Amino acid sequence: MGLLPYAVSDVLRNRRRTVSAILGVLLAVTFVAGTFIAIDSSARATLDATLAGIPGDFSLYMYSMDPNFNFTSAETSILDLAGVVDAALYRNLPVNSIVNETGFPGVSFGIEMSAIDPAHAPFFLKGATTNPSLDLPPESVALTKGYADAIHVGLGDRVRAVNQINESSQIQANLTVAALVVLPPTGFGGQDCFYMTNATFCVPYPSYAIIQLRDVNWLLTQLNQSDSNGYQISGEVWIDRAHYVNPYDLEATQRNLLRIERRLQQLIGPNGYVSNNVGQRLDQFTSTITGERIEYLLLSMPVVLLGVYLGAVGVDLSHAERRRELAVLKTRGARRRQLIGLLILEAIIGGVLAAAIGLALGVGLSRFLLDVVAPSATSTPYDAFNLTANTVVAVAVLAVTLMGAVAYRSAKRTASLPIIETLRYYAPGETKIQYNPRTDIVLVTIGVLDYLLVWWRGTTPSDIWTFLLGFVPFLLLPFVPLLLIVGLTRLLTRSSGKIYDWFSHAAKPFTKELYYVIRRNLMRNPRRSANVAIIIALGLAFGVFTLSIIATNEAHLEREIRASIGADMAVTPLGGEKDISTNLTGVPGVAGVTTIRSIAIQVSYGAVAYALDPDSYFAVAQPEGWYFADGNAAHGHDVLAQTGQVLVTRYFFDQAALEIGDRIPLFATLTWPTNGTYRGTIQENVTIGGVVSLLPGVSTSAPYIGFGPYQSVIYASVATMQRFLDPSVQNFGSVGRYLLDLAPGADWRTVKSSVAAEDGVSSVDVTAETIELANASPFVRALSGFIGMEIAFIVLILTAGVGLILYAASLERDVEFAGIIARGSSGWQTAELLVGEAFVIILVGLTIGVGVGLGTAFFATNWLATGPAGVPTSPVPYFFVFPWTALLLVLGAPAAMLLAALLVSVRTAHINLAKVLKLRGG
Amino acid sequence: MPNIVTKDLMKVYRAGRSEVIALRGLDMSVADGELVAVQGPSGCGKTTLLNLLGGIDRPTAGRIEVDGSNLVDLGDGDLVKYRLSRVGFIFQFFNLVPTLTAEENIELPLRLAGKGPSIRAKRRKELLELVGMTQRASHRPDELSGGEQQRVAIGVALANDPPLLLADEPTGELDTKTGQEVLDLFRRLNQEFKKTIVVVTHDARVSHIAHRILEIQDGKIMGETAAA
Repeated sequence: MGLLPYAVSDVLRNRRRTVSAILGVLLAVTFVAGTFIAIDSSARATLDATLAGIPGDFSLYMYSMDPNFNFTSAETSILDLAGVVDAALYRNLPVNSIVNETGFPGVSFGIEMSAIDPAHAPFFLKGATTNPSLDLPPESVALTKGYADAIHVGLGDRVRAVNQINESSQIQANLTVAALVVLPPTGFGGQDCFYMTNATFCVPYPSYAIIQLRDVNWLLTQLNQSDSNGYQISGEVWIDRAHYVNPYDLEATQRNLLRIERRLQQLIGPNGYVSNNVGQRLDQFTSTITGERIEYLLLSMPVVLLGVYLGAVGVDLSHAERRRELAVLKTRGARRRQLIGLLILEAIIGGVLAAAIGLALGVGLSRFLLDVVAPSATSTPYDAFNLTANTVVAVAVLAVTLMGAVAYRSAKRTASLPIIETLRYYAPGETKIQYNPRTDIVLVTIGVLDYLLVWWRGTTPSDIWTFLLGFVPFLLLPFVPLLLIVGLTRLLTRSSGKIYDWFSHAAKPFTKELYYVIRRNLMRNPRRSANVAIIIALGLAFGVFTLSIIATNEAHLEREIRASIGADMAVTPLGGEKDISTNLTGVPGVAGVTTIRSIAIQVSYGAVAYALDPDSYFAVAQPEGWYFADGNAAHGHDVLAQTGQVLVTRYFFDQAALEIGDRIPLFATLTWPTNGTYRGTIQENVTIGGVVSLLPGVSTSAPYIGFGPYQSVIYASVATMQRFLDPSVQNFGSVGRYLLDLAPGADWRTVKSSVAAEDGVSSVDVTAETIELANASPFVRALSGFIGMEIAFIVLILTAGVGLILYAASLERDVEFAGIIARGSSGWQTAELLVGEAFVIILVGLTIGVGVGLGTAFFATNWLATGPAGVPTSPVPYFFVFPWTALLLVLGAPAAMLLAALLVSVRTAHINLAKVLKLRGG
Repeated sequence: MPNIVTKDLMKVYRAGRSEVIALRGLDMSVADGELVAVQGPSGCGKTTLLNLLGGIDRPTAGRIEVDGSNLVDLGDGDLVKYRLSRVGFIFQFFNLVPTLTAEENIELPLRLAGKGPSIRAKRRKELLELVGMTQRASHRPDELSGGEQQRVAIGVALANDPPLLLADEPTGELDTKTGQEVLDLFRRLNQEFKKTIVVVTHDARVSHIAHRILEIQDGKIMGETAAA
């Protein structure tokens, strides 16, 4: 520690050297700091998202025997509590369903009936739009619109609330529909359908019927019910979150919540129960924040790795600059350990500086990351800036650790140099790269072996060894690209100096006479060239890999969506008996319609069957070749067009040990149309004409692929299945779906509205809309935003790195350049040396980086669809995509680096010869 | 052959707020084929004079005429040409390109002058023989002794056959024997090849080869001695 003042003064006085030493780590730490500060600053938004969907900050449940319970008074008492901003009390009523005046539809659809105070609506009505309002006249009801439409009632119509006492007995009460409620989309719920002989009826669930609290007694009387046995009151309480819920002080928040919970409990008494919904979610919030930090730190690894590499080079250069000074210290008696300690101490001080500057710069960067790091946030973060102690400590530890790590080896090496070596005028050129490829060979071997094992164990595991050899490599799969990128780039840039010699020919056209100087410099100082080339190669490899994988995944998702939906649009009918294809064809913007019928047959392995019209199906769905085992879509069409021939899924083909040309029998049960009793069995023999993975839009799980690839499915033409489409066949084939092809230029939104309005349409799925929603998902947006920022930082590190290293190299070679200029070269001609060398090194880094990045991305996509033990997880193959953003990176990053080289060379071009040459040479 | 005349030559260096007047109106002349030594105490302006004569630096005031052309009037491009073909500079610390061999260092000015491969090869061979470095042609500077490096540096200076050679303390880093060899080479270049040579040196032996010795003090020529 006696050397501490010396170390501090050296760091603070030699600003240029300090900057070059800490630049790499500074950039890495800035990125991490910016990310963590953004997470901290958006904590309130993250908390809001964590609390989204809770049924009130507190939920209340009370049991009352008082038929005249004063809801208003109770609400007022709750509202008077400190911190409470809203309270809603309501009760459920014994109504099972609502039917219209005529008794339609004749079946009972479940509904929840509640009595509310319209001034304080319960959580399930938050965000709903009501026409006209929930301020209902007496003896009237508000219904959710989907339910009202299903039972064919509108505003002003009379309905009956049904209390089903037992299987055969029910009581009804008459009400007038005074309002219709449209609930906000929640992503939950679905349809409740009733399939009758000639019709199918569906209502959305959940569905609600609402009356006012003042009508409760009247309704109960109508239903011949009473409250004599007591009833349950439910309620929600909302608090002032801005003051009582602080995401930065969870202890205080918990205390606030417990106090409010206690007061609520006192109010509602011993027969009630208070549920602290916010408190229950706080643990989840803490886990979310911690998870975000870990997740984004892992995603930041490429930037951190590059920063470390740049830092190592910068530290190396700064130590090299001081070799003579350190040698002089040795001649004065300094020991090797003292010198190592001094250099490490300087690195630690540099780390502290990097942390401080990184935090300051990170604040600026965090503004760009705010919308990115909180993917589940539902509102714009409204905390301007927040820096927590956790972040400061994490960044400081990271910076100091990284600086210590990058400085250690160089410090040992520098302190170990013989004194005489470093006092000579011409230090021997670093003609060897001093590189041991062992580690990188291991990394690459592990990566390649892992891919081979995953590919080899492509079948389901049959014993412990196939399980281990399949499962363990699968677990390593996500890390393999990183191993390959790091291992291959280091091997290719450092194993030999010859690569720089080969690439130096590229500099010949523009450096002309001085080309051989560049070639010699690169060959005889390969270590410095390799240090720069590996940074460039790693950065570009990471960038190209990441962008290609993301684009490939996006393309795959779009392909999967298309395979699920089947065409531009798919329509699920309300009941499958009536054929509405003609109506759909008439909708403006629709170019073609095809009908998918599901057939009720019995066949081995529980196969299901579908009947299609081959011509219209292939025209509308336009299935790509990869669906077909022989890759030939046209052949698939011909198979279906041939009456008696069928296509089957690969799964069924393998399970039933079929071969092309095999004949299989299909059976169906005939019934008498009058009473539905058994009449006989029909059999139709069909020939296996071809094999598919699946046909788009045709599966029991459509519009989702779901278990599509694992289904036993038989696809046939309507002509082949004609006998099974007879109404006398039990459960005869009904229309499962319609696939629609849109006309070029048609606006899917307009077409969707028109199609949805058609009679008999239950739901409409649009490929373009589903893709849009998938790409708009907060998680996808957050990931693309973060990756975009990361790529920008990688380019910044590459540009700063090349600039820094060239600048340091130019300082080192001032005398050499001055000597050349003194002997008849112009300043710019000599500067070309620097630019030429930079160009060659950039070219080496670019070639290796893009090659490795593309190669690992390509192989990774071939294994992306692989699950444990190599089992495919998706029937849709991954097709490798090289996006325009990757091309922009490949062109833009080198251009930026060359610009940096050019700027550095300006200094060389304007060297003050007299001043430089007066300096001690060597 | 160059005829060098300087008139009222001044050079002022500014470092922050302070000023250093290296030359204070120096007048001198060097005739064709002369070997002139310039001597003086440290800081008297010897190296500054050489830098100005070599076109490496520009004077603050005054004239430098070489064969009737005032170097002060030359643009940067013309100065480059001047350094390439009209003058050869020999430095105290050699200033060779460390990654090039001896013969590649000698070849460098020829490449800069755009000479073809056959001319370069021929000239390289001549110069290596002249400076006695044929056997060590493929060695890099870090593999050569100080004397060998200086001989290579002389070869570099002679590459484009300039009429004028400027040498700044050429024997300053050399032992006695090697220094004598370099001085003998200078004599040969002057007498046999008729080179005009200006040598800045503390080495007393230069009086044996120089036609005149100029004494500089405080940025001015204070005296002149006809050498033996």
